[in-house]
Amino acid sequence: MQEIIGTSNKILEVDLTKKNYTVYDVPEEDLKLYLGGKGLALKLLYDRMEPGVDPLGPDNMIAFHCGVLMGTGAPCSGRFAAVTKSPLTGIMTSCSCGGPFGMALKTSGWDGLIVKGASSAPIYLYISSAGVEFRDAKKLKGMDTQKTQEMLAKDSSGIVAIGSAGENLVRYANVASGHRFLGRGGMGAVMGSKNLKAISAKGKEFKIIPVKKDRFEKAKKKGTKYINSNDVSSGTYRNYGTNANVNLNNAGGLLPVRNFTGGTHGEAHKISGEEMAEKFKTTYSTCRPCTILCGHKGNIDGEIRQIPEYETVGLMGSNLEIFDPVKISDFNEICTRTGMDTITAGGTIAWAMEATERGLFKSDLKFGSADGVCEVLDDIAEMKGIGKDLAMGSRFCSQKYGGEDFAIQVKGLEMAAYDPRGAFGQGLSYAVANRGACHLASTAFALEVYFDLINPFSYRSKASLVKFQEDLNSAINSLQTCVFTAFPYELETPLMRFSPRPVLKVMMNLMAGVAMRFVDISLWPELWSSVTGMRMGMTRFLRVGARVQVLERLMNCAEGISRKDDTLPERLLNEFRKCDSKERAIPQEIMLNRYYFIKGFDKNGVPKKRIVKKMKIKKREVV
Amino acid sequence: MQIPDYFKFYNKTRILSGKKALENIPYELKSMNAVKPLIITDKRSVKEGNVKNLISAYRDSGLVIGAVFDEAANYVSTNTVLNAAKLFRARGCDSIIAIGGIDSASIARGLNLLVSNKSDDLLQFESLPDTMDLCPFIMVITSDSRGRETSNKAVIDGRVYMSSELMPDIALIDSRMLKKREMSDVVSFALCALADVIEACSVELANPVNDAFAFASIELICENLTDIFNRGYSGKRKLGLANGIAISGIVSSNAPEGLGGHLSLELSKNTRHSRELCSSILLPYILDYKLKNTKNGVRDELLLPVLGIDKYCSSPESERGSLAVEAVTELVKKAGKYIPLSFKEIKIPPYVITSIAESLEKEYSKSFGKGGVLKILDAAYEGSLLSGGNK
Repeated sequence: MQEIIGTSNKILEVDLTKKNYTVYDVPEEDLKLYLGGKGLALKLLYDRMEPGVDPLGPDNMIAFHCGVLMGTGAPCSGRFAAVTKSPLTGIMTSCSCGGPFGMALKTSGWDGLIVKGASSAPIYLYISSAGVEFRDAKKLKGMDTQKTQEMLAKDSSGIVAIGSAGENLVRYANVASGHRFLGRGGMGAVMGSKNLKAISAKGKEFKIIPVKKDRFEKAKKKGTKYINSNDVSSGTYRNYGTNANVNLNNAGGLLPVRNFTGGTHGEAHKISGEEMAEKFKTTYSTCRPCTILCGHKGNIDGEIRQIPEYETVGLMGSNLEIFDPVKISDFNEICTRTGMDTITAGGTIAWAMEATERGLFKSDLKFGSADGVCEVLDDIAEMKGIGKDLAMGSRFCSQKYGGEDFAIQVKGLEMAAYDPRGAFGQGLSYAVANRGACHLASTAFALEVYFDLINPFSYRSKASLVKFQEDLNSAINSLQTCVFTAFPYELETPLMRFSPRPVLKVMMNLMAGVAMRFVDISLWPELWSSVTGMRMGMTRFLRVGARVQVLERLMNCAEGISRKDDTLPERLLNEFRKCDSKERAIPQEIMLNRYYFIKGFDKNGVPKKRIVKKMKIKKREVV
Repeated sequence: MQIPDYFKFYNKTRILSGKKALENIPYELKSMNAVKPLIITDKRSVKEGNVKNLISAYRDSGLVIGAVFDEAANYVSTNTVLNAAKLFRARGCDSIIAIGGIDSASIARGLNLLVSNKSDDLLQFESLPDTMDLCPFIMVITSDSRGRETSNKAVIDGRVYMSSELMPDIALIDSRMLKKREMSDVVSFALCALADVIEACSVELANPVNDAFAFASIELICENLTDIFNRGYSGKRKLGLANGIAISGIVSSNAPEGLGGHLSLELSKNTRHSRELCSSILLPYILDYKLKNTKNGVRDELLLPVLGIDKYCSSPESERGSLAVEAVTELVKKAGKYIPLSFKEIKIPPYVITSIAESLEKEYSKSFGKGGVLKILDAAYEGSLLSGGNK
């Protein structure tokens, strides 16, 4: 087997209209500035795509990119990123996936892949070290995501595929790789609009060797040790999967209940990770390689199925007031097969249930009842009946039928399963997140509620907290490792572990900006620099995260995004919940003003020239 | 001015405008047999002291205020209206005073439908008769008013509830209620009202009474807006503009909705830019297109309120239409100091424009010609008219 020392820095640029491809060599400077993964993929599209293109037109591009850690065996590094312009939101969207395609692409000798144009007939791409083959996919048309992967598995070690939802241009269709997904923003519809059913990569042609092997091994060992000693990564998530969040969120008032009208529910324990682990005798079914092992499968109704993740359980369970894990698993299976984002599907169905209740929309859906949900999900995937409207997402439906105040979305992307009225920092994070109401942009709720390090109901320090976490998570997603590594890598360092908790809390509540500077995040840059052989410190690593954030914001501003879009839905700003001890409104405007100031944005939310220059973001020169 | 064989005009709104207009409220309420109004407003109006001003006008009147409902927000939902209705009934109110913009007005209208008909189901009022028995409703105009406050429409949860009886009984304009606003808002609100009025008197079914109101509104808006551009924003001009804007609601209630209204609504829904901004940008392009490409062109009488009697009389009849369009275009051009003048500037993607044009093509292809809607939107996207074709 041939070896790649560090990274190949080679990107395939495929034109589906002309059915040809070219190879692009990533300059070392760009790798240093953007690390890889999400950051580099965004930069490549920034240089290639004009603003204002139709997300479902041939001019939109989709970029898949592996991180530098892929293939090295670093803890939780089996992830790759994809970036495109979302047909759901009309702005940039990026996703991270733990499926096998990333490893296959990287070990075929390619760090990334950009797809543009559109094919006139259904095709799929076959990628190997020799290049790209354009193969006929007529036989795969209408096939579900899992079956498609089975059909193409013979000569490849990793595949990304879309299901019927993607083919029918459901605006939140996702892309499957194994049993993992590029979930949010409708990447499946983008592939569908290009008549691209799947991409399969041969893989296993190259071995990835870190440039500084000894340093890498040392860092890897340290990372594994941190992960194995952290309660969340080695205990809660490893034992019960992400559904362990159900009980934590129910206790903290973050659980979405009845389309975000409540934060807790007496029956929530029925869909918790602890309950499911016992009921379904779960075992591991994770991304590869993974040290945390949060993905689980189990015996559900005599069938081995993937256990739904927390977001699915939250949005298709408690948010619809359905507390039957088997039913939720059925919904999950339909979304898996047809290839649909469970968060947006759940959020849109919750909107439909409430709109039906209020007489704004006609359907048989009602809260607390699973009747008709499977049929509606099938209709959405096929774009028929009421599914035709629901396939466009809750923003579209609420604009057409009314009920914008209870369409729980930001910038068109449905909110993940953490109610921000229980954690104000998370509220700010949802409002400003680049791709919409994304829980992974900053994961502020974890520090506010899970680790109890900062008062969740105060607006103080929240702008600093969100900025720091956004920059860090962006950098992690560009390094392309799992964001869950943030818990052990941040909290298991000696300074955090041995500092008295009250001191930490005071620092975080009163001087978050200063406190964040003392957080040791050296492990990530150490892993990156040992693989590439290039220097990278903590400050520079965080700067990369900030750069990626600003770049994405700039791209979104070019699509018309500004302060008017950085807002939570009316329900979350004006309605109070019974579960709260007192009526509290999220102080969005105060936090937003502070956030813009810290980020270097003007009062309209557009990055100032000064900050763009500081981040070394060059003027767009479309290639 | 020709009088058609058949026309319809209805206006139940009396406008009370000028110094100490607020002080008339107790008298007016008494004359409508009402003693306990519910005030509907937004938090900003409360903060700026508008509610306080109103309460002081009540002094020594012997009437009481039932409650202040300050939950009006950008989006009016059924839930908000139901909450207002609960408060109205709990406090035993018998009339409604709305302070502020279209949001307060829509809540007031929805509330009026519910409490007057003793119902809690707004959807049953989707098709409304033109005669109904409703509670007394006074609309207090503020700087947030865009004209639709005096109209016959309420937009609740994206649905339009329309009846002549939904117009307020009294529209009250008092300079104490006209607070300072960002110039971009002042200009876009005024231009949007101007666009609505011009559109209302340009439709085939226009009638002479509505024209009389329309010309008054156009004159007030154009004159005061020009003064604001040339000499700055003053109390006097604020009041003049508010009067013009208030009349525009009455005018548009007596005319069917035209292309400009439709387009700006769709654009605002799809992009989150305000309807007023979209409407302001579209105004000169629709007029220009109509002048050059449609059979009826632009009415020559439009020149009279836009530029005044002297200019009107000294211009040949055949040129009046084009001169009116030129004048409106010039006015919008001056507004460019405060608001963007093309869809490109506000970054509306071309594919959104194309999809909106396609959705409205069928409805308007007869009056604007095949592909006319797209041509108007394309021109407004590039901003070619206002930049002299250089953009």
